[in-house]
Amino acid sequence: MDLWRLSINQIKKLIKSGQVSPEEVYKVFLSRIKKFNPGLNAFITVIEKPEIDKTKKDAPLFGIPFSMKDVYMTKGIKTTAGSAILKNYISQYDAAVYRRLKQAGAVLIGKTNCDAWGHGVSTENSDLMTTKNPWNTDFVAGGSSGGSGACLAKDMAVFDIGEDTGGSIRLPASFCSVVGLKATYGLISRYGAIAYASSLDTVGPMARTVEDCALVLEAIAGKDRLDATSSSLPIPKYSQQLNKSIKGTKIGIPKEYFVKGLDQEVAQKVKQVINRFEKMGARIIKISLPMTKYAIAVYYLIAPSETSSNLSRFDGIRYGKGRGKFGDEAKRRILLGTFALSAGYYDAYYLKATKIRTLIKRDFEKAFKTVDVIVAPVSPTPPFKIGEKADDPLQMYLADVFTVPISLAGVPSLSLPCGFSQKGLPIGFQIIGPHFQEAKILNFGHQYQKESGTFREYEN
Amino acid sequence: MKSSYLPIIGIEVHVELRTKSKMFCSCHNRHFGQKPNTNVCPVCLGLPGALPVPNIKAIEETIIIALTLNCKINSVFWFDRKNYFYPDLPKGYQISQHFAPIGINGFLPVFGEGKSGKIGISDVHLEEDTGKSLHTEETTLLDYNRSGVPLVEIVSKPEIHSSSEAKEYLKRVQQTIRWLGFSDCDMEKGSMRLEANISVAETNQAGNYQLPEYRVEIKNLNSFRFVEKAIDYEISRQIKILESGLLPKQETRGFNSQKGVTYPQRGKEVAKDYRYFPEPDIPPFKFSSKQISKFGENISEMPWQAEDNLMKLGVKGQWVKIIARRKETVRLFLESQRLSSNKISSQELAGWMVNKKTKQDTKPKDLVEEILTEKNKFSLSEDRIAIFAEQAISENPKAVADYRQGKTQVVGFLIGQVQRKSQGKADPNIVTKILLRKLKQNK
Repeated sequence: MDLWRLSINQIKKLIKSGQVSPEEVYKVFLSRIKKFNPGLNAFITVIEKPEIDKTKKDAPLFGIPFSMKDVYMTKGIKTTAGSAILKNYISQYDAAVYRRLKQAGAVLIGKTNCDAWGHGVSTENSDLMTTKNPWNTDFVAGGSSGGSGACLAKDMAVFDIGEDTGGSIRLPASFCSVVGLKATYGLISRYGAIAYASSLDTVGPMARTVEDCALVLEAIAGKDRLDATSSSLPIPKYSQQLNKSIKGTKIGIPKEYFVKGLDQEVAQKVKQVINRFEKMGARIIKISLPMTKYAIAVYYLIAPSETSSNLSRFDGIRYGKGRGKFGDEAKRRILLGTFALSAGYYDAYYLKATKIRTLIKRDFEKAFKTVDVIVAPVSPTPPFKIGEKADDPLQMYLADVFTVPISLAGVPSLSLPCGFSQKGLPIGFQIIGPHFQEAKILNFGHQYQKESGTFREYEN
Repeated sequence: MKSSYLPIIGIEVHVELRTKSKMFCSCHNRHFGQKPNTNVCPVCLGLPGALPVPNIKAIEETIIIALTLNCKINSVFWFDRKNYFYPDLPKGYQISQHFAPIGINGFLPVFGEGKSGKIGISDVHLEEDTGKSLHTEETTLLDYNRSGVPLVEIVSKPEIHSSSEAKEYLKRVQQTIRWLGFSDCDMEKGSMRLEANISVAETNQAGNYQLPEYRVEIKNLNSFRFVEKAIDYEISRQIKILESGLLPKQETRGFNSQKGVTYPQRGKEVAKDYRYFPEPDIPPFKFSSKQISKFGENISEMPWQAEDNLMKLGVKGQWVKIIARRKETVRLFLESQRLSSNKISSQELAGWMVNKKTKQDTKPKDLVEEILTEKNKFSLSEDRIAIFAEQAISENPKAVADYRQGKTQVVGFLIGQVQRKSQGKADPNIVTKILLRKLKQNK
């Protein structure tokens, strides 16, 4: 039996019964990293010696090795945000999500590559390296949390903490055939996550199954006094609500997500998902989210505006490297945002964008009055080739066309695999829910995986 | 001179609140006289990933300040980011308030040398202080202890027309905030800082004027006297330029206190664009009108009104100013006076409170008891003391003889005798006075 294929609960059982030690578990995953990472560039930092806290024996994730996108502060360990500016920056404190995971007994095995500052959809904007798609190394792994997607596709960790601002968890999950949850804005503390766009940034779990995702979410969600935007709502036991029947529920299919430009193979796979849900007893309802067409424009005003402000601290005084070290994409977004916030343009760009953002949010609130969840594609296309869009930032931005409306609305969305293209590249779909209804979308996702499987390399 | 000139002055006052913790983190709120960079954390150092969590106490105190300055409180207010580069600004932006400050549209009554009346206040807002740059000959050192200290900014309308009026206004602002007890407003320590915006308008015969097209900002004025001097200098400098037919340059100037002149500050003047936008890390605040009026409950009286009241009650001289510095002290005074039911005079009570440095959280009952006990201690009248003194003299002829031979120290022995007879209820000063008089008389 290959230990690295096992789920969180299965590994926990083996550790608890003494059949395997946390050190042995760690060694198995470390050897996977040694074997696959050199060809994939998933990791920026690999931790050779595990810090296993034996006092956490009864904690929910005791001995489970995990990775994190390299945007989370980990005291004494490098945090680069995939940037040249922070290439050698050592974290001075722990991010809230890292603290909670250590509290839960999980063991950090490494930190994964991403587009610098989270700016991108393919990790090609990483100043350090480009992560390759484990299913075909000529293709991108998605982004910005591309290292996280590749890491899980090759079972180099049991789970990962990604970060999603406009699609950065969902897209790599979809491109690498793994599960990724973009949580409701405010569910998980952002304290210690290097900010890209503060009003959109969300911390979220990535895993190989929906069930693992739910277990991790339980450990990291909930009010944190160090994040003023974190919600005080009580956190349910997500893993115990996965097995509810979805019979009689209503699934909304937004017509704006099935338009010209959507790849035929993706459309076909997502339609199969819808048929599957229908067979499982859900009612399929056609809905409209009319503001969808404005989402990309709104997103590319708000996110660069905030990032232009968030990145201004990297001014060459305290982080060693001057502003000339920013990559092209960071410079592009800093310029765009600085312009959108400038006197005389603020009302026409930034302010107007925030108003449309409110309308986009209302679209979703209105839809959720009639449906339980919404099902849609994650990416308009399967993974693209490395270099294919590198010279066309606008084409790159459009990869996020189905993910940014959800980010702007602040609602949760679960990205999960649903098949492969004829070339053998992964295709995913997303289940979108109302604010703070993660339990609901995880329930739908788990039910789907029970019927259709997890689309892993070794499955079938 | 074809028309007359009217100085147009607006003043920005920055006051550091002395809350327990800083504005957006739990660091202790102290920086003066501390070892550099010892009172810092990821938040006030602006480390990557750190987030601000607002200090509710600082927000409440700013609401009370704004209400005291007769402002309207915005029912929804929030923080905004003010983006600019400066080495002592660790995030590259300052968290301040721009679009919806806590208080707007207030005023402060001003009397005294300047024109009496109201000076309008355009807004009262809350922000974080920056770190400090220490320039040495070789290098610039940065100390972030002050970074994140809560700072209230009070912005006057351009309704001040002379340096003396400016000074009166500033004295009132300082007095008001000290009165509330939220800051010591010490300009030497930098807990109160001033900037003046000065221009000069030409008035027509009816006395009407338009706001000038330029404005000169004078930074870092660290005493009221310097404000007066800088304004006077600036007014005459600007009038000279206007009379030559030119318009003074819009610029930021510093003040040289030794020479008494303002001078252009280095660096080219570019139009400021702070690219303000709402701080996404902090949700907006909503207070109901009921909550806001609750904040206003404790500010029925202003410090200058309290001073008048104290004078009417018979408190004299400096003691009025000292008692009226804090509203808690005034309350303690008034309640103690009521409780003492005329057994203690106003002047006695005030003198006691000032000389004994009575703490403001003393209970009025305890204070009255303390004073009465002390008074009763020496409750013996001068007549009774005189009788005891007479007895002591006649009972101790040897001591009296010694005294007459020049051994003046025996007076101490006689004082002790009187005190024994009076059971300690005689005021030692009076005993001495009477004994000496009698010893001289009986010669």
